[in-house]
Amino acid sequence: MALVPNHTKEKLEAGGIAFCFGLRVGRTVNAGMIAKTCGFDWLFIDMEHGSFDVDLACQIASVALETGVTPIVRVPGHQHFHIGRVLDGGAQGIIAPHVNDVEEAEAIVRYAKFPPIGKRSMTNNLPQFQMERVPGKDLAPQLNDNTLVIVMLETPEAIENADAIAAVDGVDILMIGTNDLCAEMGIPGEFNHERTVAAYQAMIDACNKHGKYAAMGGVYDHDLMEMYIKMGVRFMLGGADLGFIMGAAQKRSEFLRALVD
Amino acid sequence: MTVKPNRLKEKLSAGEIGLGFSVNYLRSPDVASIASACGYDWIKPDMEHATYDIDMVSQMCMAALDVGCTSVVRVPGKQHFHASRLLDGGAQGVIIPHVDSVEEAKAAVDWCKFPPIGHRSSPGPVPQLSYAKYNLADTMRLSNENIMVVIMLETWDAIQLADDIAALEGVDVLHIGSNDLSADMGIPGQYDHEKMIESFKIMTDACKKHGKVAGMGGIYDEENATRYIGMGCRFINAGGDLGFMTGGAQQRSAFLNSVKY
Repeated sequence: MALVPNHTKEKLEAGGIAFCFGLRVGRTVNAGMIAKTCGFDWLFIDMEHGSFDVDLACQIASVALETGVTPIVRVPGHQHFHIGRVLDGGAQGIIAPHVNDVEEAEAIVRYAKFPPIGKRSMTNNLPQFQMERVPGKDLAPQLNDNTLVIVMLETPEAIENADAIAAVDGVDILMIGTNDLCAEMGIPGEFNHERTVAAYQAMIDACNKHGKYAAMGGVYDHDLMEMYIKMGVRFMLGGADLGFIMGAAQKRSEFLRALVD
Repeated sequence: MTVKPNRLKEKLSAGEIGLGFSVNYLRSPDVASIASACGYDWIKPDMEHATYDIDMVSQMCMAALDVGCTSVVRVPGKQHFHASRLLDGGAQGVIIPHVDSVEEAKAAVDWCKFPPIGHRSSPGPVPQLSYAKYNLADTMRLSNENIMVVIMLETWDAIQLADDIAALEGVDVLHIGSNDLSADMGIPGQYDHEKMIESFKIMTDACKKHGKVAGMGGIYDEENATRYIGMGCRFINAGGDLGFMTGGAQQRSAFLNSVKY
C-alpha cells in the first residue's frame, strides 16, 4: 500500500515548525513544486478568500501530494460537502474558518474523519493512496491518522472556548486568524496589542495542555512572527503568492525608476 | 472616450521610461491592476515561455484596457494568426521574439498594422476602440496608432540588421533579449561583456537614427541597467511574476527557518 506520508504532520511530531506557501492567484498544478523549491512545508489552498472551486483545489492538491509538500485546503464554510470532497480529492488536511465553540469543532471533525472518530463518508481509490484500492478496514484508520484537522479561532468567544475546543478528539491544530480576531476585538491590525498576545497565550496554553499544535495566520512582520514562534506557534502561514509577487515587483520598479531620476 | 489610451506609447513618445514585467504565472484578468498597483506601465503576457492560449491572454488584455496599463503580448512564433488574433482580442502591442531578418520584421508589421502600413485583416469592431462603430478608414488609422510592434533581436547576426529593421515603417520598438543574445554570442549571462555593450550600442544608435524606441529585458543589476538605460533604452522589461514570487518566497522561508525556538 502506498499511503503518501503527511510531511507536515511528521515535522510537527518531530518538534519542527511547518511553514506554508499560500495560493491566492495561482491556478496551476505546479503550485506544490513551487512551494517545495521555495522552502515551504505545506500548501495553503484558500477557498475562503480565493475563487477556487472544489475541482481546481483538488487538481492542485493531488499533484502537490507527490512533491512532499502537504496540500491543505481552507474550506469556505462548515459544510460536509466541502470538507469531504476536498479530502476525497487529495487534500491532506482541511482548515475550517470561524469555529466558535465545541459544537462547531465537533461538526468539522465529524465531516473530516471516518468512523469511529467521525462520520465521513467512505470512499476509495484516493490520491492519498496513489489511487490504489485499499480495504476499508485499513483505509479508514490510516487516512484518519494522515489527515490534519485545523480549526480557526477568530473571535473573543472562540478564544474563551480554546481549551474546550483543543480537547475535542480529532482536532489536530488550533489556529488564530489574526486579522479577523483583531477586527472582532476592536483593534484591527494591532497584531502586537496586549489583547492579541493574550489571545495567543490562551490558545497556546490550551494546545499544550491537550497535546495539540498552535497555529498562526495573517502575521507577516518578521519580528512578530519570531515572537509568536518563541511563544509556541508551530504551524503557520508564511505568505502567499500575490503578496510575494507584488512585494518584489514594487521593489524592482522603485529600483529601476530611481536609476532614471 | 472610445479609443482606449495606450499609456506606454504615450510615455515612450514623451521620452519617458516604460516599465513592464513578464506574466508567466498569473492567470486572472486582474493582472494589469496588480501591475499598476506595483508601479508598472505595461504587462507582457508571455506566450513564448508560458502555456497560455490566446483566449486566456485576450481576457487579460481586455481587462487591462480600462486600467491604464498597456498589454504587450509576446507571441510564441512568427505566424500572422498569433499577432492578429491577440490584437483582435485587446492587446495593445505584440512582441515578436527571435527576429532574424528584415523580411521577418516586415512580415510582423504586415500582420499587426492595417493598410496602408501593413496587411492586417479587418476584424470589425475592436476592443481597443471600445467596440464603437467607426468607418473602416478610421478603425484602421486609429488602430494603427494604438498598436505597438516590438521586434526582438536575440542573435549577433540580428544585431547587425538593427539599422535596417529600425528603418521599417510600423516597427515601434527594437528590443534585445539579453539572455538569448548573450547565449548566442557564447557569453551567457555576461551582461557587462564588451560584445553585449557593443550590441546595445548598435541597437540604440539605430533606434535614435530612425526615431524608434530601444528596449531591454533580463538585466536588473544596478551597474548594467544604469549603463543600458543611459545608452537610451526606454522600453524596460523589469522581471517576471514567477521570479518575483519565488525570490520573495525564498527570502521569507529562509528567515522563518532561521528563527531559533
